[in-house]
Amino acid sequence: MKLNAIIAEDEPISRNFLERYCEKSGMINVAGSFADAESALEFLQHNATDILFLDVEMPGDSGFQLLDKLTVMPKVILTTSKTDYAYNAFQYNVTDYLKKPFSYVRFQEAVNKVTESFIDRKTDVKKEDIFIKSDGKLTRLNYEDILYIESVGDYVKYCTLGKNYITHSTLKAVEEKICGMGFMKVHRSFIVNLKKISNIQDYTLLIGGSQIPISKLLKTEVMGRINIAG
Amino acid sequence: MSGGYFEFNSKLDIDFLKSLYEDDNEHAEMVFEQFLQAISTQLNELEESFIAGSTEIFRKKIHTIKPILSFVGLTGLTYKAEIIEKNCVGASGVNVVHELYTAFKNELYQLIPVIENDLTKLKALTL
Repeated sequence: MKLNAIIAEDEPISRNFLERYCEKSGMINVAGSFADAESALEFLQHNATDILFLDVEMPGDSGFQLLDKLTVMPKVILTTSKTDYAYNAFQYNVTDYLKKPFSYVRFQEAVNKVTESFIDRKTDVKKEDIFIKSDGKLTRLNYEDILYIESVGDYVKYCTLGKNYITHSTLKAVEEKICGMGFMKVHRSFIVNLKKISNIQDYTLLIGGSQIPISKLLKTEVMGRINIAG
Repeated sequence: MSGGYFEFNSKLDIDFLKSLYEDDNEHAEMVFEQFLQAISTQLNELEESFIAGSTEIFRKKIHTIKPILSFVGLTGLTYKAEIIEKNCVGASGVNVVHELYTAFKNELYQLIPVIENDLTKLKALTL
């Protein structure tokens, strides 16, 4: 399976290099290539992305300013021609730091670090959580604690028993990230944790005391996913 | 991808070019062409920013040019551009780097025909 990547790099020849190297690796699908941070952010808010190749100095927002605005963090490989950003790179927990220009071998090393972390994630079943950006900080939510996720305009609300967290994202992006982990979209505005459903009546389900609508189109699929005794 | 290592001009950093392109001569051709299409505009913008006198704008321009020089094997000039960039930080004016900059652009202008020549050879190879 190929990893989905995007490139945020203002310099066309450097962009070309990354595109070519991604193609050559045979492991990466470049889903988008952007000359500024704003366009990359717009894409990232609506599309699940595994790797972000990110230049630091770009016109408009810098690469780090882009990272500040992200609600769901892909694996980040910084590509910069300056070494001065090492401390920031550490602070932002980037996977690797490529100093331009870099060879194909060095590029491959960085990609290997990402793929290894994906393998670790898949084999370690205890890591069932997600980091969301809410109130200016990244907060870890265990999947088990999430009751449901609701779309609210340009935001999504993660509802847990104790607290709700609002973050700037779309339900589609959340769906791509967590559906298949015990979650399911039951309505255009709701994704629910299947394990937390108390009861279902007609086109409504009860979860943590809240009534959630089930769309007519998705009702059969919902019934197929729960364990009915008869 | 097109096989076989291309023999770049010895004035370029051959080892570095091999690490970049390996045997992908088609990619090298594409980048050399892109470089030649872009470099005169970039040098004009660099010169304009130098004349305008803002060290920060000039620094940003030289920062952008810096890596692309290495993409065509001009690693020595990348190093010189890095020194100019560092000297711009906190400088009161661009005159601080006047001598370095003049030497840098003179060397670059002398080497552009070498890049053009290698591009012609690469094109012939991938025909």
